[in-house]
Amino acid sequence: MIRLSILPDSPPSVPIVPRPRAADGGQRAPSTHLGASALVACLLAAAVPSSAPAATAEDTTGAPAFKIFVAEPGVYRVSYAELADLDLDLGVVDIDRLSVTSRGEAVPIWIEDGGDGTFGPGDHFELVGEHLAGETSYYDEFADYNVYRLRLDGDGDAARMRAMQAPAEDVPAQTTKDRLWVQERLEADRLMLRFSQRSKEPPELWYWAKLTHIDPKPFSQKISLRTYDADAETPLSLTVALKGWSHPRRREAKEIRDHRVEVLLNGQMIGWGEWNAQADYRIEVPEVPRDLLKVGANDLQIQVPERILGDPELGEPLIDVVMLNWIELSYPHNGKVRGPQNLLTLGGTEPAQAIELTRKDPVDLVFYGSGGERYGDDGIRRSKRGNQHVHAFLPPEEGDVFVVADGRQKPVAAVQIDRPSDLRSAAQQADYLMITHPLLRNAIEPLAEFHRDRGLNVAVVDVHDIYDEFNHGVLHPRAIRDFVRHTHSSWRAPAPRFVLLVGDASWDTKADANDDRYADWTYWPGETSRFLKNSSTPYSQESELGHRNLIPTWPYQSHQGHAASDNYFVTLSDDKDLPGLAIGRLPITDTAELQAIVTKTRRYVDGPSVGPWRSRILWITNEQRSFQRRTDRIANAAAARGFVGAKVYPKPEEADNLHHQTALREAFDDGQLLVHFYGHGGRYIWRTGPPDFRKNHDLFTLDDLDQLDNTDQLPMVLSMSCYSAPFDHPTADSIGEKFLRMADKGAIAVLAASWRNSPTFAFSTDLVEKLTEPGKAIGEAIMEAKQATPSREMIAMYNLLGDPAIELAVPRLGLEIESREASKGYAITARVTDEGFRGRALVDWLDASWQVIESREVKVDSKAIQAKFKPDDEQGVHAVRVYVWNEDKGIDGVATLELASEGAERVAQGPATPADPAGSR
Amino acid sequence: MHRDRRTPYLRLAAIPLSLLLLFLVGGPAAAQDSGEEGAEEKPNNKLKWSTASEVDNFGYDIYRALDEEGPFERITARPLPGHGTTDETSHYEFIDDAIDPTRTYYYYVESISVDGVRERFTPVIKAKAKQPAPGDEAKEDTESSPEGRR
Repeated sequence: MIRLSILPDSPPSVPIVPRPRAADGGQRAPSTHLGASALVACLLAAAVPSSAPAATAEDTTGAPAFKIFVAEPGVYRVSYAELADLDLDLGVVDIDRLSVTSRGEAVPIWIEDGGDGTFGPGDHFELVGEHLAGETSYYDEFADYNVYRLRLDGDGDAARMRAMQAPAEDVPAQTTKDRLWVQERLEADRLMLRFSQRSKEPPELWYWAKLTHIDPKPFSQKISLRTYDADAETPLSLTVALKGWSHPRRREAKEIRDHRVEVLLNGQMIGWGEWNAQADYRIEVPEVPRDLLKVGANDLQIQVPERILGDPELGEPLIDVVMLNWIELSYPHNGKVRGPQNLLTLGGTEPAQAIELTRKDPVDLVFYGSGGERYGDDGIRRSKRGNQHVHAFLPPEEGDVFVVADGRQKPVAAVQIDRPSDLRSAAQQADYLMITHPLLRNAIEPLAEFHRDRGLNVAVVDVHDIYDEFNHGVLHPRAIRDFVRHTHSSWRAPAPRFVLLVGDASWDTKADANDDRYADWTYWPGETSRFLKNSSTPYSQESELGHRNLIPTWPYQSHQGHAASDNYFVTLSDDKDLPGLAIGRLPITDTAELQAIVTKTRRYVDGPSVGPWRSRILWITNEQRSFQRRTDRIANAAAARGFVGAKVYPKPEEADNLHHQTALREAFDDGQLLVHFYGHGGRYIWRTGPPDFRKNHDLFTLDDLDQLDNTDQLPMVLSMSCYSAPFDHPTADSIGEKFLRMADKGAIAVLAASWRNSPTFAFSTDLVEKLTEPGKAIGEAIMEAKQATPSREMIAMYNLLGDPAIELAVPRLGLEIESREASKGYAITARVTDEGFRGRALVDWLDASWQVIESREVKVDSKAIQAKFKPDDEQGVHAVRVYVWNEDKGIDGVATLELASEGAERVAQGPATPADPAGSR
Repeated sequence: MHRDRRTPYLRLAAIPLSLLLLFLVGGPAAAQDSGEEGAEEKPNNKLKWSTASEVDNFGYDIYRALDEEGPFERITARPLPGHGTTDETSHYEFIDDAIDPTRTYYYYVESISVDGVRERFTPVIKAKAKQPAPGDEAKEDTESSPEGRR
């Protein structure tokens, strides 16, 4: 049996232009029917590192190598001129040294060298390319391009196509009745689904269409059967792949299944299927009635019928939602080939039997077998029968054969120089890996240099070199994890401690620009008649990339569906999800955004303003008492170590939030070391409670962020809530990303979730404790907190946005407090262990809830700080906190003493950790 | 090691969540020429609402009554399709043009999850009469009520 597909026209060479994309309800032709120019253009935008700087001859050592990008199956042609256009002096290349590989395997090529034995101007070679298949789906989940690697200095590993011979004149050629088949797979990845369940296997993320019983009309797909052989004995067969989504909580009756889907062809039902649960399901129609088929266009419809439960008059329809994944057709071909390229699948014929195909126009055909066979002038017996040109050939024993109109081999999607790298070299060592997209490489260098000056050995690594060395040039996030593991196991000790991902991620690897499918609109306080465009960082028409997937993230499968997880990259074994080193990300796409973060980071570490803000933590939660009680416990533990601060706790009885919103902005502007939010939230907002639109429940929005003025007193934000930083969205902004991205204000770093979750109290407690340890890098503090939590979702879903190697501006001077006898009230003496200390001191007397009762600022010009406090009778004093600082020297210290009973003699000692650069362990 | 105490309330119901906005927009007080030849817009009440995010949201039905206490009647022949599971903002609109402009109406929106669970999604909101009833010249308020607006 031979199966044949009609393939699209040849694509353009390297256009980086966005592809028009239909909104959810729209219909776009499936991939096999797509105009190739549109398809290839969009795929290029998503995956080909088009903006990588072109290498010069000086960039390379030895003969240059190339990466060839292919999106769809087909026969491709690569010319010498395409390679030479990359500004390389190729010189004369011996054709025996040309070699092409794919995923490490040799790929046969056919070289047209003009007969001189060299590959030079005017020459080209041909190869049979395959699309990039996914691990769980027909199309790859992360990239659109298969990569073929070309070397000009091959040393015996080259493979060549074999020139086949035509059948002798006396060998009868069979017509194609019942032996030549068309097989079409129709699939379009349009909808990304987050199923609220965790499956053992990675689920397919992308589907074609959503089908429900309330659709105004059935899903419809035109099918052309112009090459259908109506006289063949074998009928057309059809398969529809589906997945159930709805899952009725109560099943009315056993015989009523959760899902029912019907398949109609030209108005007549040809198949149906019923099944339960969120399961994959296929409707197979092995024999479509011939009398329904038309030689031209046919209308295939797929629908979910309405099924009334109970009384037909009064009952409710069953909620039935189903996802359409793909459609496959198989039918006998009439032997008349058309178009530039056709794919035939061989099978069932005797190997020696010649097969003939006919074509109306006098085009020479070339056949390419999947086993490396090539049927050119000498491989095809040509004749004419009536007005038909007949092409007979001896097919290979098995596999596929491309039938190509000579000269209509496709241009490849792109060719790039494969620059050498040595990431696998065991001679390397680094403390800090900065993995960057090439667009951002220059802009991240100042941060790398900054950390080198602090004693770290920093390696800035082009993510494409990682793909090259760890996944044969093909984009895949697993390559990044494998690289990190390699550095840990094979590079020289000490092993890396930090990883920074420099660039944004996007779950839409099939991206295009300005797609209305993505809601990029947000609620605007006070706006009642329309919604305003969110000030996000959308695709730009002028963007070199046209997408935001610069450094991919890993799709973690949570109980609530797909979630972005960078933690995957620093897991050092397959057994556990625990991180083995610290990781952070800068989710930006252009150099200006990156420069803003780098400037902010360097200024924070180099010399942030010294003052009481460095001992403050802002605690924010919603109106639920349980949240407030838990936050109190975390706050009390922090206060006992010297970190006190304001609490913004909304109350259910409050009419509005205006004073809380004002208090929040003012608290940010006053300066905070840490901000901890624990409550309900969303992409754009922190909220005071669950949904209730009778009153304003927005606590903090993107608009509030714009109003901040906290340049020199930047906090780290811990947003313990649902999706405060789903940074892998293709276009939309989030509160977490914006906190970090804003120039000169916002936050120095953000820890936030990428999807829905229930943050744990223990995780927050650990985080705050470790982040306030002097000298501990924030990435390592987070890593240790993750290592201590049993919650998989905390580990995977909470991502650090920011530089993991910096430490918070935690006071470090040693400070001792001792209580003294007092006739009335309380008296303390505080001493800074640095004997020469001169500066200011803030003495805070605290009540049982660690809130400040009395605060006094004093000048420190002697060794000891003396302070007394005589509270009112009703005031209970629980503790005293002393913060000392010297602005000129940029030093400070803090300590707290709990006053168990009046006059008790106790001594407390604050953190006395000497300056400890990130480079030291 | 700390005990892993969870806060289940952050995981909201598996239905549309984070309702952002719902309000009524009044249609014309009477049939008006919309500018298109032969086209006339009927008096109507327009409900608009938006969600910040959704989980397993199948869609919405709209209910209407002549009294705030009911009885309410479903006026959607079929549910308005929801957006399933998304963290993106979604906007919805329903136009009730089968109204008597002299009557006051009350509405609420009911959400339907993909597991078939129906829940009242909004409180009852009021749409005042658009024109006075014959003989009731005192009622001249033709504006829709802002009640229900955040």
